[in-house]
Formats: sequence, structure tokens, C-alpha cells
Amino acid sequence: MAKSIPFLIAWRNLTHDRARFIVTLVGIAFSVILMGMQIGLLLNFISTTSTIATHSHADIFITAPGVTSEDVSTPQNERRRFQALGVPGVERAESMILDFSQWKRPDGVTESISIVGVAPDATMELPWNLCDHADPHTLLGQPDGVIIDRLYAHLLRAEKIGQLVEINDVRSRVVGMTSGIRTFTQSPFVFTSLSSARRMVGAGDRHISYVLVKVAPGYGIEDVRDRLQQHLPDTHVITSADFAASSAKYWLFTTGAGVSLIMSAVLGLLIGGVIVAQTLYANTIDHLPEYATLRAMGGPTGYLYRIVLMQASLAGIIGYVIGMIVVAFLVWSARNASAAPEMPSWLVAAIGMTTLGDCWLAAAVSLRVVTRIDPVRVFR
Amino acid sequence: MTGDKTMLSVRSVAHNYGCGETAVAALRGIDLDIMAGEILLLVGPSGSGKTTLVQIMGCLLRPTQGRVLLNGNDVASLPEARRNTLRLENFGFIFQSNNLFPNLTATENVMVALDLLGIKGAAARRQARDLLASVGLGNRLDAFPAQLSGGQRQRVGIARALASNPKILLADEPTAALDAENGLRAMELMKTMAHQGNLGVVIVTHDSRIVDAADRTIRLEDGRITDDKL
Ligand SMILES: Nc1ncnc2c1ncn2[C@@H]1O[C@H](COP(=O)(O)OP(=O)(O)O)[C@@H](O)[C@H]1O
Ligand SMILES: [Mg+2]
Repeated sequence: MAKSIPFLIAWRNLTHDRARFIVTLVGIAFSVILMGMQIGLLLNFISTTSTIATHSHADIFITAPGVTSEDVSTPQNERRRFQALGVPGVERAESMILDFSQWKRPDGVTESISIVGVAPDATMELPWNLCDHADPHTLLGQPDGVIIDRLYAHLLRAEKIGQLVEINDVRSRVVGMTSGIRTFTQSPFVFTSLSSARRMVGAGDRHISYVLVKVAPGYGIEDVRDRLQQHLPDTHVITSADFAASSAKYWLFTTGAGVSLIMSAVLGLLIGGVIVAQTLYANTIDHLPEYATLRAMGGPTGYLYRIVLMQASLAGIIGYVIGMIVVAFLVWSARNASAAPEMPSWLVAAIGMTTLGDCWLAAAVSLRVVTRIDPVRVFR
Repeated sequence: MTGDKTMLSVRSVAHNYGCGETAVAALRGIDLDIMAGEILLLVGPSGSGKTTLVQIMGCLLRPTQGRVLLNGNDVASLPEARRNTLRLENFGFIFQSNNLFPNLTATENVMVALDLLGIKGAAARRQARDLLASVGLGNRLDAFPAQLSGGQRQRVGIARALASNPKILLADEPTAALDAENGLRAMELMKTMAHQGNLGVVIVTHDSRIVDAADRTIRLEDGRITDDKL
């Protein structure tokens, strides 16, 4: 591969001062790590705060008025479900309970949990990612059987199927395990049947948290939502997508967690930009006689720009690769932690583009210097 | 002095640095013609305006007054980008402090000039090597400037200036940093190149040892030509 002359000048001048080059790379890598981890955590927050709505297979949720986050439900009467069934466009309507309860470990310690209860023949909000391809209907059909996630098996001291536990004084048994269902509230999700759930959260016979609605083919989700809201004015009817978004928004912005994550990511971007700007500038000043010589030789401005921008790109790309290797390692290490940063490929690409853009922006100061260079200085 | 051999003409050129009360008159009405195949030596005391004149001839500096005619066209008032291109296509510069790229080898330094003209890759490398061989550096092709002596560096500078196949070669005290022997060799080299390539060559110097090599010597004093002898 023939290396172009501007590339040679850019690369050799960039790497000539080893110490400065390493500092630059560390700076960019650090900025990539900060951005990657903070945005990765943000995505994890968004998906864990809305995991119930996202994985429900329902089109619409009917909640009590004022509910903005799936984890913070208010009880309502199961009558709502029957009323919903009478509305045109509703194919199915199912009851669901989502509420906090107490899990008593074999060693006597009590842990807070989130009970998710649906009928054994439910089609929506069934436990997903079940281990050993178990059938959720069968598991939910076992009296007082509960399904927990492997991530929290140790926390709950229920590492084996068959473990007996007590939930709010209801004797129950772990009948199945899921994998990768994280909770945002630190209270792990425990799936069980609707009737067991009622006893575990200490609720009455007709108590439910949400009505899950499946829209019949040929009907628009928004239309059915509006019709349901009309028929059930003292409830809150919301599409699953909107409910997921509002749950995420609630945790991210009401609690300030999201703002601080976004701020850190922006900070990472700024740090990276400032470091690149400062190195490129110092480098450009150091090599000013060379730029002036190129100019005197008749080198067009674009030629000088190419050298500066190549330096910015080279530093950006190498720093990015180093940073991403660290990010990949950190993400891998945290895969079983309760907050595991998510790193979808679009994010990997987006951070790459952002880093490169950041480096080019940082090159602006140097480009100005190069533009104003006066070739007569080489003849002094 | 036949008109068709004139490559560059300086007409009534004056140049002031700064303006108003503090203005320094560096040149005060210069008329001069550069001929193809001729080595013109510019001598004179320090501060007499030699560097300023060379910069104006090479389109590096705009004169305060007067015209600079390249092939009959006034280039003094052209826009900067256009003058840039004119420099690339017409002039070869040899700088006192040779101004090589410290992180490029001798060959790569010469390749920079070729690259600016769009000559790239293996062709450029071959051409650069031939040029370096012709200035006697065939055995130092891959040396970095820091690994070369002052005389060798200056010869790389000459090879680089010639790489763009210029019509006019401008050199500002090219031998100042060299010892007598190397200075003379550099001078001989430029002379050979000028006569072979039929270039116009202007060399600023106050090195009396090399005056003999010139076809014509012009003396500047206080911004004026005081002596012009063939
Ligand atoms: N950039 C500048 N600003 C102000 N004065 C200058 C500048 N360059 C040169 N001069 C002045 O112009 C005069 C001619 O300078 P110069 O052309 O460098 O002469 P020489 O090369 O013969 O020594 C001197 O008086 C010098 O001080
Ligand atoms: Mg001078």
C-alpha cells in the first residue's frame, strides 16, 4: 500500500514526540471509555426501567390514574378487564399484578422483591428467557411456584430449582429460572401466578395492577387506546411503547440519574476534544516552519489542511480503538452485574463517529493557524 | 538581451515595511530582468534589500509599488491562491536554513515537491532518487536530515528545488551555512543545473568566494541597484 506524502508527514510528525503522542491517545481513549460506559449504562437504565412494558407482548396498558412508571403501580379493580373486553378492537384483555413484596431467605434475611403475577394461561407478560426451554404456562400452573432470575439467585439464596422460600408468609417454591431479566429498583422480579401474587402482595381477590390489552387485527393501536380511554374515563390508557418511554423518563429525569449519566458522557466528549485540540495545536506550532515551507513551495491550503486533518483522524482512530478495547473488556466484566452497560453496534459506530468529529472540531484551531501562515518566514 | 529569453522582469518595484512614520523603505525603485540560462548574483551589505527583492520576485511578497512580469504578465496583483499556483509551477526555492522536513528521508523530502505537482508513488520515488544521485547523494537516499552534513542537506534542498522542474531558481544565501569547499560545490551544482535546464537563477550572497561562478552580478545598496555588471 503506497502511503501518500501528506500521510507520511502527518504520521511521522504526530508520532515523533512519543510522550505527547501517548498522552494524546490516553486522552482520547479515556474520553471514549467515559462516553461508552456512561451511554452504555444509560441504555441499560432505559431498558431495565421499562423491561416489563417492553417484554409484555401487550399493545396497551390500562393503569390507575397517575401511574407514570411501570414499577410504581396503584391497585385497581379487575372489573376494568371485563369492561375493556367489551370495547371494539380489543382482542384480549388480561390481568396482571406488579407490586413489591418481601422474600425471606433460608438464612432469615429479608429481601425486597417485585412480584409479577399473571394467570397461568396468560398470553402476555409471561416470564421470558426461561432456562432449559421450560414452558411458562406449566411453571405458573404449579401452586405457589415462583420463577426468579439467575442474576439474583445468589442474592435471594435460591440457587437451585426446588428451593423452598417464604414470600410475605406464603410458602413457595422456586420452579424455574430466567436469565438476564434485570430490575432497576434493586428489587428482583419474581414471576408467579395471579392468585399467588395476590397473596404475596397481600391484596384482595379483585385486585390487579394493570390490564394488558391485545388489539385485534385490522384495528389501529391508537384508535383502540382512545376508545378505551373514552369507555374507562377513571383509568389511564397508554400504549406499551409510551408506557416504556414514560417509565424510562420517570427514572432518568425525576431521579436525576439520567441527567448525571448524560453529563458524564458530554464531559467525556469535552475532555477528548480539549486534549486533541491542545496536542494538535502544539504539534502544528512545532512544525510551523514545515507548513511555511510547503506554502512557499506552492502547496495549496487544502494540502496543509489535509496534513492537519490526517493527524486529527489518526489520533482519533487509534485512541478510539484503544478506548473501545477497554470498553469491551469492561462491558464483558460487568455482564453479570446488576447494571450492565449495553453496547449495541449502533452505539459502537456512533461513538466512533463522534470521536472523529470531535477530533476534527479540535483541529479547527490548528487549521486557522495554518491558513494564516506567511510563506515569507522561510526566507528569513 | 533578447526579449524572448527574458523570464521575469521587475519594473519600478519599491517596497516599504510598515507604514506612516515608522515605514522602512527596503526597496526604492528596482528594474531588473532575469534571463533563461543565466546565473544572476545579488550582492550587497546586510539590510540592503536583497531578501525582500527575492521574495517579491518569487511571489512570496507583494511589492508596495511596481510590477513583476512573469512571461509578460503582471503577477504582483494576482489573488493569493493564483500566486500560490504560480510558485508551484514556476519557481524553485533554496532556503538558507534548507528547511527540510526533519521527519522525512532525503528521498521523501524530494518527493514532497513532486507530490505537490501530482507525481506520486513509484514514479515519484524513482525520480527523487535520480535527482539525489545527480547531486551526489545516491548513497544517502534514506538518511534523515539530522543524519546528513550541512553540505549534504543543502544538496537535498537543491534537489528538491529542481524536482518541480522550475523555470526560475531563487536562492537566498544558500552557501552561508556551508564551509568554503561545500559552498563552492553547491554553487557549481546550481550553475550546472541552470545551464543544463536553461533556468533563470538568482542567488543572493555576500560570500565573495563564489562571485566568480556568476554570469552577472548585481549590487544592491540601501534598496537601489548601484552596480550591474556582466
Ligand atoms: N518583516 C520586516 N519588517 C520590517 N522591516 C523589515 C522586515 N524585513 C526586512 N526589513 C527591513 O528591510 C530592509 C531590507 O531587509 P532585507 O531585504 O532582509 O535585506 P538583506 O536581505 O539585504 O539583508 C532592512 O532595513 C530590514 O531591516
Ligand atoms: Mg537577507
